[in-house]
Amino acid sequence: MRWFVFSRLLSLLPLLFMLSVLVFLMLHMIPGSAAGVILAEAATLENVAALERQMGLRDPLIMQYGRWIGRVLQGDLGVSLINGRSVVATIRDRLPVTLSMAAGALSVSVIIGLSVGLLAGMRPGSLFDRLALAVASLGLAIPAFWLALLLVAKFAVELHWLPAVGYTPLEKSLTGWLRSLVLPWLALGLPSSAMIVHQMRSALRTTMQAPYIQAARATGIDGWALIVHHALRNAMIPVVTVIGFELTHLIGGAFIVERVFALPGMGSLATTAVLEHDLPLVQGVVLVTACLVVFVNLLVDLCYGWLDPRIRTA
Amino acid sequence: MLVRTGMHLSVVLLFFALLLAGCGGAPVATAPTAPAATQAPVTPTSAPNATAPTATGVPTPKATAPTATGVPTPKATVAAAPHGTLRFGFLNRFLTWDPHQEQRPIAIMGYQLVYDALVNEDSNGGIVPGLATAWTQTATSVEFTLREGVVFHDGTSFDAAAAKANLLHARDNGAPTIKQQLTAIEDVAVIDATHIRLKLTKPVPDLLNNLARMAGMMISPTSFATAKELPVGTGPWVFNAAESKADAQYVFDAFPRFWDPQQQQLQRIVLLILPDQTSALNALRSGEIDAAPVTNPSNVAQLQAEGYAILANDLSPLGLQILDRNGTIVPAFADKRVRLALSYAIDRQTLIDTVLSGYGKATTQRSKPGQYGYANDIVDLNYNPARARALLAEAGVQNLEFSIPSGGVLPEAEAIVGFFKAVGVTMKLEIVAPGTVVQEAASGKWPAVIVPLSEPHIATFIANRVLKTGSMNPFRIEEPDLEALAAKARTLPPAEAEPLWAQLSRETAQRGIIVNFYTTPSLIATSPKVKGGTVGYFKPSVLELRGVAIED
Amino acid sequence: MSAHQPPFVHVQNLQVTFTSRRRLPWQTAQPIHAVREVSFTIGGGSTFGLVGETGSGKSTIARAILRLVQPTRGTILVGGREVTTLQGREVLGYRRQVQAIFQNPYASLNPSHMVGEIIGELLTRHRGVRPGSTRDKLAGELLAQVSMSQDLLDRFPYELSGGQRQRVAIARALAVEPQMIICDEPTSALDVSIQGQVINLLMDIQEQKGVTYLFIGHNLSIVRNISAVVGVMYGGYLVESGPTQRVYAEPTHPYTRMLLASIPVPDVARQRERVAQRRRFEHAEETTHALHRLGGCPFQHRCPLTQAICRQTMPAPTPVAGGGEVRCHFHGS
Repeated sequence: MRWFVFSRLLSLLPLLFMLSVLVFLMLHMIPGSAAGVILAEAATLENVAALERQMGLRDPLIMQYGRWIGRVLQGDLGVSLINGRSVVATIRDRLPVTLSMAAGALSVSVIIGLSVGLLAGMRPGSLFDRLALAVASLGLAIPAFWLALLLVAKFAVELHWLPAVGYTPLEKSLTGWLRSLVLPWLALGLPSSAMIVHQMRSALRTTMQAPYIQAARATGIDGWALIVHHALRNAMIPVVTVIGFELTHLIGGAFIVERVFALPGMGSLATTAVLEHDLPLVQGVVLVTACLVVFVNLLVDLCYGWLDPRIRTA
Repeated sequence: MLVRTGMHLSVVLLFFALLLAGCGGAPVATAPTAPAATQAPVTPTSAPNATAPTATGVPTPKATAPTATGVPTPKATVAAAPHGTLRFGFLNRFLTWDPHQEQRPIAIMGYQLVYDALVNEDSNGGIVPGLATAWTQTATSVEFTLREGVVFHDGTSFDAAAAKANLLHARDNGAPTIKQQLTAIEDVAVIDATHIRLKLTKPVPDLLNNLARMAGMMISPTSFATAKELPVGTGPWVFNAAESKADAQYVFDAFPRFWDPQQQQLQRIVLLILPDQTSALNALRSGEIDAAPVTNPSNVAQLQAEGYAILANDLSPLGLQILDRNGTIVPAFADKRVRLALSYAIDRQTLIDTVLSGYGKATTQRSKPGQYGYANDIVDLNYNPARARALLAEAGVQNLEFSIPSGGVLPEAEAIVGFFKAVGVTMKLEIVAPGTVVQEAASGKWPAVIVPLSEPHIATFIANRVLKTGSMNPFRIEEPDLEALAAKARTLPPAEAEPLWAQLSRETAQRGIIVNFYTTPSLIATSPKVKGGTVGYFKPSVLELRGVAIED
Repeated sequence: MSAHQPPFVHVQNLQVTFTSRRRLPWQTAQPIHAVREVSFTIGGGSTFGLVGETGSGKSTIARAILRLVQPTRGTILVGGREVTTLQGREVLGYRRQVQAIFQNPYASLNPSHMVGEIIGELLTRHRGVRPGSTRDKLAGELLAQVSMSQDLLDRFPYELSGGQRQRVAIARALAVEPQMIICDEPTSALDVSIQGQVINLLMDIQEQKGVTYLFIGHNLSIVRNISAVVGVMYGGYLVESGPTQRVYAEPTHPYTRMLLASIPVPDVARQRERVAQRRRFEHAEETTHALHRLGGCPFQHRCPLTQAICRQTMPAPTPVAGGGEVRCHFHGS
């Protein structure tokens, strides 16, 4: 087990390296430069050229990359090209927002997805099942940002129950934090719960047909004990896969939803950083995001092992 | 295995997102938008509800000083203590709080709260007193009389030494534009505690306009090194670092020792960073903010119907600048008749109605009536397609075709293509990286470009775009009579120079150097609770908050 | 081990009909008669063997007795109680009486539960033994009963061989000390060498505990070894039943005869003849299912004796000399 986690983390290193090279090259392929952003109205050719030389942006790419990776290996992610703030500090500011958002949205989507999927899958063909399926199919078709706009229009603009924009840090006020995140959670979580409902429902239906469920039933296990103790755990295996996908999906969705709710998270940071050609910041964001994604997948794998003993030793 | 695939997939997705983000949107800060003039309540010139009353704002009590010599501000009357919080949805973000390091006029939205500049601009660009109560200007010097009893937020007194330190600091350590604006300052002499004299190496007609902006903002001399993170000025509101959070919100509290309590009616100002227009308007409607810029004029009618006041000022004019007047790339452009035909081809009002929902003013020259350098004797360059065709025929030009750089598929550019098409001229839009249009235009690769004419002062405008050494004259075209005119105008006092600048404005239009279309509006919606407020001259999305009050 | 004991199970006129799913909305749903007019009894402590090809309805009978499907008609009495109408707590009591072992030990054990959990769960459910060392000890004793080491308690099913798994399934069934175990083809998924071991184990258990078996299989030799009485299913009907000795020695129904002909014999010439015969069967089998719906005897299309009457009516059960009953128009003729 320990070896499994360790090897997984070890395999992260070449991945991160390749990722950083690719991001570096891609960012250089996009026309424009951080110098142009800094100079703004003064971005004449001469000014841009001068500033680019001063910032080292005109050096050979290999040199620029070497400088960057050299610092990273010493544990220094550098400073933003645009405003000179430390990349680590900037990410430290932003990460809690995105994590709060992703964790909450995931909770929404898992809680709703599992419970609705479970109830629907337990009684295939019932009114609840058909209703759940219809709503979930609709949910799959709704983009998160559109739902976000609808929720804002209803609960913020019309009813004034919740704020339309902004983020209150948890350490400042618990209720403020909750209020600022409820709508983003729903906007991100509901569409993704639809996916989980679908998966949970069909996985449970399939599992309930499995011989060992029939066998357990014949031996006298029934009702919730049968579902919770026998069916759920095995039905969860494909569902966990979907949840893993959804979680990485949520990170992507956060990019857009953060914008709608003007939340200062990693998504808006990444967008701004790319638009401003802020290479150290982009690299920092990519590294952290990639680590997050790998961490999520690691969790998913550990979940598999817990759910299915065959995978544990495999 | 599945999991592994999942991981790789997500990584690929991440890339994809980055790629899209990189190529798709417009850069946050690069686009050199620039502003134009005239304070006026917005009324769409031909919008459906042309009669809708708009601004409810009471004009701020401001000294309407003549340009050359300052008049002291009205005597201080006892003002009510500042109260209430005003929240503003700021479209952009702040890269630095050191005004000498910033070149984007949009940042003035924040700087105006903390800092005072030596002088101020009224909503038409006229110079009014700021920290300097009076000034006298010659071709090679400016002498300022400084306001007495002004202190910085850290308790340091503002005096001649502080002013001198600031000017030299900005000149020597400022961002490129700032340095350039102040480069003619040879030295600053401290005459006494309240008087300084700037010694200039050459006449600088737009110096006062620049000193009304970032270049003239006064930072506490003890804070030069730290102003980037923690601004300390003499302005009415103090930066509250504890409650501010980078890229999320910035909080400012009333400064008890501010020199003009009348202008300081708000206890607290919060700038919330809301880059998305929809989010900002939602926040306005849900009551989380009290004012927000309206970047899309099509929202104005609805907002007015909902009871929001719309404050407006004209920003920079939009025009087609014909860079290749020697015909290096497009030979036909060497003929003035061809260039003027393009002006006659544009139905400006239809363009404004289509692109700006009617908010905007048609113009055929750079300045507006009432602005410095307006030419009232310009020939009619308005829509006249028959004349356009006749001029082209006269010049013997058939099937004229040229390309311009465009930062995207912009509706105004598309519409202009259509008008040209109607007179037999093909203009192709070549998409370049967003935010690089100005750099592209300045590179000499393009015969023409559609750009906002963003220079706040006409002298800067002429110098950049018409004169031989201008940064926006990549083909180094020289018109000797205009060079001479500009050289003369620069040396004269502003009042005497104005007719000359007007003549240059007229010639720029009449020689087809620039085909002007319209001035774009800067619109700001305020909730009914907000009393007062003006939109800054040539300052996009800047709501001037001095004198503004808010009801509970 | 013989039929003179009072019947423990009494199945009377059992009928199970499934409604097939409509593939397309405008199609009419076709009923599938899985079990038709089946009656038999099983004496307490004895074994009733049920044979027949796949789809003949033998497993459905098992599932009906286990209450996994609801009969359309008929009664099932077990220990004198009607099974199909049990309510609430009675069901749990019935489960304690009747346990089951299924065909595929790879599939019938929950892959995510350890052996101790699989057996222990029933101890908890039926005997109220809480998880812990007592339960583990009891589970270990049950494993010992099926000749397995207690060390296997913390193994997962995938770590065991097929035979071991089926032993675990048997130990699980024994956990509640049932009066009857329904064995639904318990050996068909196992290697031949293991099959005998499992059968011997089942027979030993019966000897020690007097458990009643309903043994379903398609391996005729195994059924013969374990059963006192056998029934032969075809097309949902119990076409022949009777004491094992009689049925195997003197099969009366033409299908029983064909079935017995498929038992491999050492004689090469006879074996070849049988293989040929079986091919003919198998060819005919493909069309059988579609023809079930027609009236008359379901075996009519494969039967060498078919006459007009076979297409009209299904013969009623008639007694056979030497014990049991048969459903064939030509019995005795």
